[in-house]
Amino acid sequence: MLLDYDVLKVCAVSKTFPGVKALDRVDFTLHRGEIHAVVGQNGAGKSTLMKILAGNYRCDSGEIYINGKICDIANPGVAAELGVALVHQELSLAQFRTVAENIFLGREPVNRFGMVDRDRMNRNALELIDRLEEANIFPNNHIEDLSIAEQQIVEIVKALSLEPSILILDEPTSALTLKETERLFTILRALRDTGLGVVFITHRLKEIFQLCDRITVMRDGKVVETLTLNETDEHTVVNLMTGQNLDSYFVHDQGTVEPTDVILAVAGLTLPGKLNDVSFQLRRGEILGITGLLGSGHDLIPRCIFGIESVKPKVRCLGRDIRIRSSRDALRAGLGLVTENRKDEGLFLKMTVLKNMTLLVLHRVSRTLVRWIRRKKEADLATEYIDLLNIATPSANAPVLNLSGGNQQKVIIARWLMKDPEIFMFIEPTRGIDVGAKSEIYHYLHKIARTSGKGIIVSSTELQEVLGISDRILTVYNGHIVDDIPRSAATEELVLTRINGR
Amino acid sequence: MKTMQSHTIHKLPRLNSLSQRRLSKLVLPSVIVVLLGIIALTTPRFFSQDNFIGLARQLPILGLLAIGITPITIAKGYDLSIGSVAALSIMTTGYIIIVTDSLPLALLTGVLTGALVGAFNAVLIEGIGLNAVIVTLATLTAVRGLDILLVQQNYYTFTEKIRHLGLLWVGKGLVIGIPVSLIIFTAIALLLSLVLGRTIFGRKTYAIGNNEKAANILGINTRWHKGLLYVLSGAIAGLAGIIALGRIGVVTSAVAEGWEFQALTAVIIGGTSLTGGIGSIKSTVTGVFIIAAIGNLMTLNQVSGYYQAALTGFVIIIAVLIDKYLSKRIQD
Amino acid sequence: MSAISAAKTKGAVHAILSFAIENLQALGIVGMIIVFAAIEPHFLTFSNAMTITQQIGILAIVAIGESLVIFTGNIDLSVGSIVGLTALVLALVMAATGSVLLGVTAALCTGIVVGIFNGVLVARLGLDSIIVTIAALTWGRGLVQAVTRGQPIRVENAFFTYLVDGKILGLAFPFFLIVIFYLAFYFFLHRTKTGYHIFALGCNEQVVINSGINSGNLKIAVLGISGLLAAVGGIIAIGRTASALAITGQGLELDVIMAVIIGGNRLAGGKGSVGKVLLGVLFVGLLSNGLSIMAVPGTVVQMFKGLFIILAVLSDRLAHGRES
Repeated sequence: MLLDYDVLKVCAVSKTFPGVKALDRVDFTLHRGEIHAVVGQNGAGKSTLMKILAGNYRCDSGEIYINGKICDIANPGVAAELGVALVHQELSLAQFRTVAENIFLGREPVNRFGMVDRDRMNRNALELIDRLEEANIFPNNHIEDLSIAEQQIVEIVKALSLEPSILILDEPTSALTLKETERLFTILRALRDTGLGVVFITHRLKEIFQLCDRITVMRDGKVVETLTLNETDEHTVVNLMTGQNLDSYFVHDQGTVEPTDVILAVAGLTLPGKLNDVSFQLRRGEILGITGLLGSGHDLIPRCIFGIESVKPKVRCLGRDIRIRSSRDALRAGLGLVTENRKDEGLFLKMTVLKNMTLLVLHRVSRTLVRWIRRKKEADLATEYIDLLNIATPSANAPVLNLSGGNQQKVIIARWLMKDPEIFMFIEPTRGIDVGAKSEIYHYLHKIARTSGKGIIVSSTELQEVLGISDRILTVYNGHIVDDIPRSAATEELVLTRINGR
Repeated sequence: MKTMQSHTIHKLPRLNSLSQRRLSKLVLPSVIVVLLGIIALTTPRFFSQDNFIGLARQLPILGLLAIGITPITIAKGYDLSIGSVAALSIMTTGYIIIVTDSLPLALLTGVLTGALVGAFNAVLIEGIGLNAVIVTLATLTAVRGLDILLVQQNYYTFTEKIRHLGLLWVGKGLVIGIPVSLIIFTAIALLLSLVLGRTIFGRKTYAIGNNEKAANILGINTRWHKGLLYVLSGAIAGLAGIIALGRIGVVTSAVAEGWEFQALTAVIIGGTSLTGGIGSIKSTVTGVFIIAAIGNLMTLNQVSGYYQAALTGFVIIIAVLIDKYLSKRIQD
Repeated sequence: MSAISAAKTKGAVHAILSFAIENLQALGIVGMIIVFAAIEPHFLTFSNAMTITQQIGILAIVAIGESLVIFTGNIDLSVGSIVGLTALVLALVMAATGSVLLGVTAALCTGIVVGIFNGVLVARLGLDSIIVTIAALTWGRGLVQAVTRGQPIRVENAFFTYLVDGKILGLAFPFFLIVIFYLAFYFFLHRTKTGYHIFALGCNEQVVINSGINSGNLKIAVLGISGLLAAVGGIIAIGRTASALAITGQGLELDVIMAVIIGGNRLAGGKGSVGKVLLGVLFVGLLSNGLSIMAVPGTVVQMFKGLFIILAVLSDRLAHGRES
């Protein structure tokens, strides 16, 4: 073991959660004085690995060596003592406290009376902030008054104040402007040169090559490969990131779409701070893919159209101009939306499969006068769709909680199929779903579009998925639509380039 | 993010089906029923017709309050004002019946009183978005104050006993040996049970309690729906007040203290979860029976009525603990 | 959001509104003093000021304890019942032993024990503080009523009467109590590490855990302190009425929460100050005193209290936004 060389060595670490193996014998090393990119799709295991390093989870098996010594990272306190600092993706600061109070939370300096020495705390905070050459943040600022970028810098200062040997940053640039990103990189390079080991989690190709020394690609809880970046090129990295060929899971001959009527037209959609002047059209029978980097706003487009964000857009839907003020308006206009987090926004976990499915069409299975639900009719309807979508469940009355991710997603899709809107919108339709179910879902999407003549919008960050299923791809960068790529011209590299802004 | 907790949860076996959960839900009520049974057997006067009739007369009022707040509790709301609402309804109903001698008008007044307070709650909680516990506690205080004030102001009117036979019959009358109030309670319980279990309205209620965010996305107007549930609980509390008036026979403001907590206990102990989406009228009725039985047994064994209130508090804790335990295992 | 951020993001109108709301209580207090003094000149006398101090004694001290719980993002609805329970314990011990020391110790211990009991249910068993303290409210009051059976238990002892009526240098004793407690807790909340952690807990529990702080112990501590201070309130209550009644402390929790929120502290936690609590207590105290001087009947006051709580939550919503 090279005791002086690796600041972190992860050996055969595994972690299983009920129903899912998050990490499968992962090996990973971090050198002293390097910036190491960790990439992978959602569900690849990056977050879990980082949470284990930060002490929020414990691994089921394997060893972790920090500075050559084997460690048991039992809780966040221990992680801090061992020199691990994690800057989360979702900002985790105490909103109403000041910058200094946040930085020194739990480690506030005290004077001889046992009282917090506020002056010393503020001075130390100022010193730390100055080390990053940040002129706009003061120890007495309240966090709620700072911009997102400034809050992130506070988080970094807080992490650095622990004098870590390992700094982990989880998607730090998704909310930053170019200039702010540049600043961050300058800071990180300086830190690296002092011997700090930095783990940098990102999806952004440009940043990987701009900033990092090595890259580790993860997929499905395993490490695929680790490369040194100046010995490789974009093409190789892209291939590693997008992973095994899912081509066989898509419909081979997708066929071309006949030019038909436009069923949805969006113009000038703006969500302050997130989306800017988004305009596009959707035709009958077409599958439109929307993709972009995390934070680009691509997933917000369907949400805005469905009326569940703060903007109330005006769209032209099925020939009529409508203002969508709420999901009710959207439903009435003929829209449907499957969100990306089924547990939070899609499923009713304590209810049965049956009840989850029929929620949108209850009026169809009930007597109009008293709105009395006819159980037999409802059950028949549910069974029909369970068979249709091949949902693996012991019965229609099983709690939806017990189904696998893929089957849960199918339940939600069944729900919308029952409703039968004219326009289906999906955000990350196959997130956290095994490959078999993915394939089935792609087939349904295709069928819905071609056979039933609906329009489909799929917003996704999974490149293979977007490329495999879309007739056209809208690439989003920083809240703008930067390109509209037809299937024939769409390649991984082109799409990746576009979503990175080039 | 479950950090430390995730470690312990792994060691517990998972509850894998709804029927298993239903069975576990029966654990607490069953244990209590058995315990009560034992105590009942040692209390000779429990199994007498007199006692049962008395019990049957007492039960409907608490029962109505409990089933009234069941829907809103399923939808993850709170209504702690119902005791004061019932008291207010006693006053308004009493006033109308003394002044107009019209039973239908009095009945309407009582229910409407409750519905109005419910609507007030609804506007504050669902309309503006204020915290339900604090608002209904505030309403509890304000309405109680209003009630006491109005009873004092109309002192002379209220010194008379209620003479209207119809109203007294509602509160104390018997039909083939069964108290009228119990029949009313059963009817309402059945109706509410059907609405909750078999209609679209009921389905929506469960959906909202289960996952309000998702319900909103699916087009359910959750704020409006929950608002209606507040009106409903108020109206039913108003009805409970009418029956109470019939039973007591005179308008007074020294009534219904602490009833809301008893009702909430009955709801929780019966199996409705405060985490939302789970529960039913049937389970609440079980809870009501248990609470009424506890009170009855205590009285028969000459335990002070005050200790009942004390016990109620502890029972709430136990019920919530068990509910939490079950929810945790299932939500893993 | 604060007036500053409102100004940054939403413009002048919102900033002015935020400022007005943030300082509403101070403005309200000034307004009330003017109105009451105009209607009833006696309001603005030194002796009335002392009367007010006596009247708000219990409220002021219990409010401090409640504010600690609220700052962590929880709530304690049992304080009224704890006041009643501890007053009862004090009266019983006094009746049995006649020893003030024993009585006071017993009362304080009762308060701490109940508070810690609630705290353990919240911190270790993960129950919601609302339900746990409502339960305590219920069983606490039930116990008090059961033991007293509606009869007051008299406590004849100069010590307790002095707590309320005593005067030092012409200032009522409760005045000193309030000063001491508020100073002490000012230092505790705004100058010690634990105080900082209490506020942080109300902002973001996960961050507190990640910083290595034991959030469970914090919760138990604040509920314990709330119980302790409610016990002090119970002791003072004995001073007020020279007896422990079944209804001692009933309804206090709402007054206390109202005071804390009206003062401008955030109901959902994380933001506030001892000064604001004092402001809120003064507001409620002045209001009660003014209304009673004007001979407004208790029932009307009660009604207004209910409405005032709603106004308080409303202003909290406007000033501090929804709980995210």
